[in-house]
Amino acid sequence: MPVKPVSDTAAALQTDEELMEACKSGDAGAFDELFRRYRQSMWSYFRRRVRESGRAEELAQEVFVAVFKAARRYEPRAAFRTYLYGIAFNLLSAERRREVHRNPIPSGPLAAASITDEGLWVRQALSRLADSDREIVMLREFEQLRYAEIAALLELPINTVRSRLFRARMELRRLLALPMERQS
Amino acid sequence: MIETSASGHPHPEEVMAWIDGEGAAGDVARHLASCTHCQALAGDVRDVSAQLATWTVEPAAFQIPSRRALPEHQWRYIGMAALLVIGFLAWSSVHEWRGGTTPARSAVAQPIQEDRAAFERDWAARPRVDVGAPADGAAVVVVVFLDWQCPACKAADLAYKPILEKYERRMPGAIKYVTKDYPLNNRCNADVPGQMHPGACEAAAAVRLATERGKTGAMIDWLFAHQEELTPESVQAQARTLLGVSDFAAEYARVLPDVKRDAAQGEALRVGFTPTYYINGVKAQLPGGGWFGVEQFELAIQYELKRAGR
Repeated sequence: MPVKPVSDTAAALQTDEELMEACKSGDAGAFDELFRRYRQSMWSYFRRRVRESGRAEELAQEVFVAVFKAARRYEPRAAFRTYLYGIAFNLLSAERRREVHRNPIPSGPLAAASITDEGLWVRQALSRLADSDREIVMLREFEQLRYAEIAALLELPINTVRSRLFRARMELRRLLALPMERQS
Repeated sequence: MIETSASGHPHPEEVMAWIDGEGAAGDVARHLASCTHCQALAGDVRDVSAQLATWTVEPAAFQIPSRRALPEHQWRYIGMAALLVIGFLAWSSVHEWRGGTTPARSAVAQPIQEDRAAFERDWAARPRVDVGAPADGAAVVVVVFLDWQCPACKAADLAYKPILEKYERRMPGAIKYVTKDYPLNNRCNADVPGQMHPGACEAAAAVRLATERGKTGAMIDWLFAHQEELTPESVQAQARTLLGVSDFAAEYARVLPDVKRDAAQGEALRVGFTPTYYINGVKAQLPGGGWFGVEQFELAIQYELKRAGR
């Protein structure tokens, strides 16, 4: 029996996981709704981690293409949000490997800063953290992931996530208290 | 029960977890109410969060990736790419997922090695219907019922395009690609319950007007690039800009019966959702109604080419 497209209202009332189940059945309305829900999140994720905004946009788009391609295979083993960030994380990891190959001398882990950006100070402080600590604190502060979600994403014990998050925050407290010129 | 340090305070990580809404809250909250030392720690954690929040990101402007601009004559083959996605999903109903470790990794995992014989048995057993698209000498006719404002249609287009282009390079003209309108808007499609996509009817008309003027690809690129904000007005404005259509209302009324005819055909075929693909009249869809994947779509193309002696 053909699947009727869900209405905007009906889609808005469904959970992410229910929408993915509908996607598996080819429901375009469900895909629309998931795209609407997570477009800004995916864009923000890459925008803060990739130096070129154009490339960040491409990667965010690739996440949704990957979701579409894999929709039929999707199994709700974890929350859809974790699944989505897992795709984003894998794409980012691949991008960084390519970047290292292209430019063996790294130019910094975060998006390029503009002098006028309000977040410049924050970015400078974050760039001084260890890679693993920085990713954890960014996933918590910007993506608002729960400890268990971060642990699943990074394949770390949840206690490790918690201890590294605490360490990162305390280091950020110290760095953000420094005068700006001393940071740089 | 909370962890405590030698000083009798909760472990600092417990305080942080309480602020984050993680872990048991009651004991930490009671302790914090009367402990200035831990209140200061909590203040530090909150202050870091507040400072990080100053790094804001501008609103997203992107849509589902758009097609590359291609020469007009290639357009009919481009859309065929969308079929591949549908094929992929259909295949999965027959064959269990054999890859992937975590859900995140499975999404970007290597393609499944298909069992061609099993696929072909399934495909050959499916009914063939007349979808109203003459072959005109092509060995394979791919028909898609779509909605230009549907992100899934756009994603399918992107996914299938490389395969369609591959076969066009190998066998020019062997595959004919035909789009048919199935707008998810009851102003032009009586088969859907509401107006899920407000600009879908005008978009369908605009593509037809563009085809009359040799600008199909340019119009579709624009529609796909602006899916999120398509309205009747924005499509009308683009028709004026790109096609020089000054009286869109009249032109819309002229081609609307054709749009409705496609939609009615879709209803008769029990299309139900977009995109829905047919390959030589065989519905490229899972038995339960899901999309085909990329690999299955290509297998279907290969089967039909072989069947036609190509």
